[in-house]
Amino acid sequence: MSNKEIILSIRDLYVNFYTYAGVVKAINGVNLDIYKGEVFGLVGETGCGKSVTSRAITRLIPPPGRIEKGEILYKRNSEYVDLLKLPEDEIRKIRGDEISYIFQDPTSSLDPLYTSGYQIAETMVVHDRAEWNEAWKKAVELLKETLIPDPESRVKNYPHEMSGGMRQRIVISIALSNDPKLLIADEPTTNVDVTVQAELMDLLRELQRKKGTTILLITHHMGLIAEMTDRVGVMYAGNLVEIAPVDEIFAEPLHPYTKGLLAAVPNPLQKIDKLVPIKGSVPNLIYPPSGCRFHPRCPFAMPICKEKRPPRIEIKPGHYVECWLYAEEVKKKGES
Amino acid sequence: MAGMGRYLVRRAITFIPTVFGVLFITFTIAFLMPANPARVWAGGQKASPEVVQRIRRMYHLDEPFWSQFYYFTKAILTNSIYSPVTHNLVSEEFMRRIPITLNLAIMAMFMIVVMGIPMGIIAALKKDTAIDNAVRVLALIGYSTPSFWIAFIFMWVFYNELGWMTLVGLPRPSQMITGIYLVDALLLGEWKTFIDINRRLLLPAFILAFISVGGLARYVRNTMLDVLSADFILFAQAKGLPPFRLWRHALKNSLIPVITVVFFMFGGLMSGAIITETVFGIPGLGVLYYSAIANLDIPVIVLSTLYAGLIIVVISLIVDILYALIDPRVRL
Amino acid sequence: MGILWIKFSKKLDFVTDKLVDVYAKFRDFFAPGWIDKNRSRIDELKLMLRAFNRSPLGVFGFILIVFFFFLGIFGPMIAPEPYWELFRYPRNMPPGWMGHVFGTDHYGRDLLSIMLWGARVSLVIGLLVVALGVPLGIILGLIAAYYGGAVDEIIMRIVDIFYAFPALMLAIAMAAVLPTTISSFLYKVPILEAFFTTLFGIRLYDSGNLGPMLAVILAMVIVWWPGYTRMIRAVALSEKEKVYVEDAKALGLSDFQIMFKHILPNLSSIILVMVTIDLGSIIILEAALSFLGLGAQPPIAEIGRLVSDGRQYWPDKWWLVIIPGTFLFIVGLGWNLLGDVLRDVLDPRTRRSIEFGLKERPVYFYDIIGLIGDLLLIGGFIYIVLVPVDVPGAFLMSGPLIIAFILWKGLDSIGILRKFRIGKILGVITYYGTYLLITPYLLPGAFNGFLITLAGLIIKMIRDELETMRSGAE
Repeated sequence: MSNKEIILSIRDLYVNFYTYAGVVKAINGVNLDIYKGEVFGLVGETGCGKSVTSRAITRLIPPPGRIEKGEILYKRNSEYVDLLKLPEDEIRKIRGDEISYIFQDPTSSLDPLYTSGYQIAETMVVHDRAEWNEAWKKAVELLKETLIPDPESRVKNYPHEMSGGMRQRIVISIALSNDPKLLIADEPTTNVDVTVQAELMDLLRELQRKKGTTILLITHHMGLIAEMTDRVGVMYAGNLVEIAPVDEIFAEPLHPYTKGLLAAVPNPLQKIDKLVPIKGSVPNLIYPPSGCRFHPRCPFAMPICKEKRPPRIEIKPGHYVECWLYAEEVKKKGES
Repeated sequence: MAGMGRYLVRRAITFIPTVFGVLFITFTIAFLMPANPARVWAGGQKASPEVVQRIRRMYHLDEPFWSQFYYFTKAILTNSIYSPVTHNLVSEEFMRRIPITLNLAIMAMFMIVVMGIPMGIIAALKKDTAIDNAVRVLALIGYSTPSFWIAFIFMWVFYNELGWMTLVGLPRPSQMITGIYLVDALLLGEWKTFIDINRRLLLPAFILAFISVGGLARYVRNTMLDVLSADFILFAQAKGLPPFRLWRHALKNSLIPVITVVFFMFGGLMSGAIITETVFGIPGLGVLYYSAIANLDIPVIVLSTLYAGLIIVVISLIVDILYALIDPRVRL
Repeated sequence: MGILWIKFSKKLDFVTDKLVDVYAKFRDFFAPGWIDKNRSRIDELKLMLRAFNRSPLGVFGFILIVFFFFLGIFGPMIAPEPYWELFRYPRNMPPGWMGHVFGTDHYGRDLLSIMLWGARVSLVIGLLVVALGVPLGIILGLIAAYYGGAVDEIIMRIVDIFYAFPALMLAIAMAAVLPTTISSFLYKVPILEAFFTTLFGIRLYDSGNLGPMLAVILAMVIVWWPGYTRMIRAVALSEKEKVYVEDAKALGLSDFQIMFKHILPNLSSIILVMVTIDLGSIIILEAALSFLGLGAQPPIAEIGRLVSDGRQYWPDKWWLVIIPGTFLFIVGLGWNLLGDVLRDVLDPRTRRSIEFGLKERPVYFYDIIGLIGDLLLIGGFIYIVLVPVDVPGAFLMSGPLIIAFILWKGLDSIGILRKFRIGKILGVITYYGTYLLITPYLLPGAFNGFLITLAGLIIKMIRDELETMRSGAE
């Protein structure tokens, strides 16, 4: 894996939200590389910072949120640029053109006052990919690609005249309209019907195969992860606790949280007798637990977990974990 | 646009019962009118019973409810209701006065929109700052101000102290085109008349505007904040739209609910205009009401109310149609 | 203002907490065990009142309203002179004439007394309009939302019809037509006549005025209820979809019970806010009607009428208009301030932004300056205290951060300071964007400069402190 070309590298990212109740330390030092052409899955419970991380990539963090520090290196024209340091106008050119998004709720993602065709065409026009006339024609083609029946009349429809699945296809068309290099799909199927979910995922996979787009898929659905992704990152309370190829995550989860997460949902690769919920609740990120943020819920917690944040350890090539349990092992290996 | 036709039909179906309802309510008010106004109109306590009887017969005061309703409706349709005090046709009296009141209300509405919408937008952008608080306080002061009280204060400042305004007469443009003096003067290019009308009406209109402008600004602020935090604005940003396009999406979405509110304010402005007109002695509906109340001229009061209600019903029909043209969600 | 207000409002917290406790004990007395069952509700109530105490505007509005109620209830009793003795003095005398604080009115009566009598009329009219109109609007709104379909359609069409009229015009028409009908009805029911004359604080002799007064009330009820129906229907529609309504239905409760015992209590805070704000508008609309000559006729004391009587002497005898008009404005402002702050306090989304002020804050660097200052004060020196108003984290969001004020003690040796009182605010320091700004209040030039320099030094220290606090917070 590591000989592949890195398209995006998040380094030491910190994001805080300054609310009246206090400072929410939402993202706490995330490191992540995404390779060109892969599908990277990001899993975790609601509120663990998956969406914030993905939005921070193009600095889509509205106030009171603020990106505190870090680097997001993106390979643009064979050289790396730090997206966090780009001027606003430059990052705007990247958004929707080279890096595009699919949001969770198709109903609220679309402007209710414009036709679907307009909203698709607009994306191409603002990035100088086409003039209006041409963009409209392209919009029809895109709708064809996203398997919308009767695309010629659908471009003239307003969002409220379509079903949820149809709206999400419009959102996907918008995201794909400029052939992005990186597509960030933030829970793309959570708010649509179960039957439509499978269709949409098939569609995304098909498009990815055809165009070779890199996809960052954010979800809390383990089945989707198993089905779609090449590599997986597990997030907990603003930390990326484990990164591994998809097979290894299911076969050999290392972090206690990943183990808990897999025990709490049906595992497609293993036969499990019963589902075990993770005890405890998601921590308040205004006053996050000291040391390892998972230690209050961790069945294997040690004294050191409370005091110091665990380092990132590469157990196998491409399999990283942030946990003190394995720090000892590595040390022992080193000694012996 | 297929939905548009259906929407128009549905809107028309609700329009007719509303007109009927307005008629019915005004009639019920008129029906509650007690017997003694006949005596007042006939000349007070000394009036001869015959004259009182004749008036009672003329206005069908002795007949049952539905039969009176029939006469009432018929009289309105044939336009044959006279004021027992002035002996003029009530509709003529009303038509003579209403352009002035509408003129005032429209001027006030113009000021409210021109001041209130930018104020609201700025307050939304500068949320929780001194500017935002100032808009809030302005709105609260506006709600709490009795219009006649502030009218007297303004009158003192701008008439007695500064002399910027006039208090007598109301110049008319030489021709009537729309019936609204100010617009007509502008259309005819009669600048002197235009300025004179302004000297007479600008201050009353400003008082009307002052009372409502903070309320509108606050409404604009709240809708604007709702829209700015909506997902589709973030998605539009994620699409890479430049700022002016983001603004277009945000403004269009936040101004649509504002349109309805602005037109809802129209009824309130007509109410307020009555008070300010009375204070400034502008010969509009206010003066008509004031003298009608003093003389117990109930046909004038009731019918003016009916006509004002009908005007608003028609305006709201037009607004709803315009609204459907702008907002695709309405025409379902 | 900020820190002084917070200190003051903490004292208020003590009072409101006690009040809630007394209320709880009262409920507990009639329904033993009430306190134990409703512990979380009591705490919630205390927290709401504390949040309310944090708002100077709200407390100011509340004081105005309490004062208005006091005048309304006791006004007729404390009024030095009766309203019915006309032409006792020369007419339209200025305030202060012969010891009459507000002078005399158009009918040669003591204006202060008339205002006191009039306050009762205003208060009673406002409360009666709410007492009659609000329940009507609420019931119809609930029925429309709960049953939906044709019932909803009919009720809402009726509401639309009433909405078609400009409010004042409809009220004028009703108020002009109704008086005689009401008068002749009251004539037949003397007990009601006696009741209303007592309520309005007028003589039985003037009961002929009850007709026009009640007509104004009925007219405003007619104008007012549709607003409540519309609003309650809108809120009840979303409330109806909630799980507890389903549960209540499954338990077999009657429609009536579900509507009034389960849905209605959940709408109470919205209704409370709306009623508060409307009480202000009602008093102003009522004054407008009596300004136009409707409602009570002289000699009944009526505030709108006072303005109307005094207008012919404007602006030479300005007090005839300004005194009653200002009274109306202040009462209206009181209700509006109270309502606006109640809205913030009762809405859980906005309440959070007030609650931050409730938490105990740790001791900071500035407190130490304050402490040193206190020591210096004992020594008779001048010092500046900079006090944080907010807890950490909030400073990035909110405006006024720190307020500089000066305390001094008998510093006659520095003559320039004689103008200042203890606790005088010299300037407000705000955190604006990334800059700290100081807005000096009016001070003599040289001293001002000295103060700003001094404040600037302290600000720099505080900025550094804030920076370290912020990085330490991570």
